[in-house]
Amino acid sequence: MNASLLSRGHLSSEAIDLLLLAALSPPEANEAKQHLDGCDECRGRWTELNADKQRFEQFVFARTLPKVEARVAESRAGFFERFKLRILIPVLSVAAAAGVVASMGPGTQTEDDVYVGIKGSADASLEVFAVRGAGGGVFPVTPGVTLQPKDRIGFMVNPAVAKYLMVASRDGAGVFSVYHPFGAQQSQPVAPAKVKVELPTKVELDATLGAERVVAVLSDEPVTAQQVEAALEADPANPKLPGVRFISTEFIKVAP
Amino acid sequence: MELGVHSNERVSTLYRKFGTAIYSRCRRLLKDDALAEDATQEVFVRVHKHIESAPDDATALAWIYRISTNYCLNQIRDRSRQAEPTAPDEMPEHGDNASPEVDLLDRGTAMKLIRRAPEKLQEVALLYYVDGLEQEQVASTLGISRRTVINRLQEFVDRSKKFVNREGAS
Repeated sequence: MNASLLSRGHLSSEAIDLLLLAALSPPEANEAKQHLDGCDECRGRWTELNADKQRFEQFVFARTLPKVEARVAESRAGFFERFKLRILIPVLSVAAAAGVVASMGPGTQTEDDVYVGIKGSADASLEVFAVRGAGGGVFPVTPGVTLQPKDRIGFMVNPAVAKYLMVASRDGAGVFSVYHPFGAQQSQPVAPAKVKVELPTKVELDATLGAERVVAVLSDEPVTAQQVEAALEADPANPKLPGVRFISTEFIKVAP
Repeated sequence: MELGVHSNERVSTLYRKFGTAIYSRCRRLLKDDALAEDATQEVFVRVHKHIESAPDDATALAWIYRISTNYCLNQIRDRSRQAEPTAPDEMPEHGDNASPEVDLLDRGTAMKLIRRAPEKLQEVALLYYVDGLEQEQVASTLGISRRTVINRLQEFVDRSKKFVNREGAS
């Protein structure tokens, strides 16, 4: 925040919001807190906004995030959506019939012994699909499929009854990334769907070549990116975390 | 990794980061939990429509503030067209020695008057009295001159004074 925190002797609404969001620099945060200590009016507004924050985080966020994502997906059909009805569904239907989607493919799904958190999650699944080039067709990413840098991939996930979801990756150089929610530090609430939903995230692949493993991380409690990274580091093909279900698939990235 | 991220994901990220602030703002403006929840979602759908012009995360909150302000003021205007006459106990109270200008420094009073102000004055008054921005910041936010901000604030105060006097006499 570049503007002065104080305006006509009080903290602006933005300054208080940024303080609550922990988005002020340490010096700014200290200045704002010092002002709050000596200003009844601003402290009253901070208390009111903090109560709103608690209400939002406890009761509103988990319920509305999937709605926002769905509305956004509807409001502007992306490249996958434009192809979905004509190409993707038939392609995936064929792929599913052949038993090649991640949830069904042999060796691609981790039914680890430590998974104890989610009952009735047998239908949970992860499907990865891709588009190559401008106007290219959508094709399913199945085990052993080769992709190329700049291919764009998307995800369809059935979270079943899981309450939290993350899609993460470990690429050919061993670099870990969170694809959905992109760059998040922990898994995010997801509405139990029991049907496949297309995630809004679309990722353009970088130039790192080799085998890249993509995992859907399903759980009843939030899981940190650090935990998932460690699990993938320890055993990329069969990651394990207590109370977590991993569904994974792998593709090979090659030069064009 | 160097990755391109779809705009949908950017909106999700902004919602996770700023959703609580926008919800709080909508709740303050609309004074209704359910309307605030709906408004918050609508604001981020609008964010998505203009995502190409979104600033970086460091300054995105002010940008989304503006979208939420426009949306909520439109909602208030839509509701006011169907609203019944304001009950006397909802009117700002003024003592004999208190001028409207002084009372406008109170955010709650300003909000009540903003709801009844002409459209062109609402946003300026809201940014100045409720958000606590300086006149220069209001001008910069709205892309208008500081002189225009001063004129509109003065008009807002003048109209509010007439409104309060008229209602106070009734």
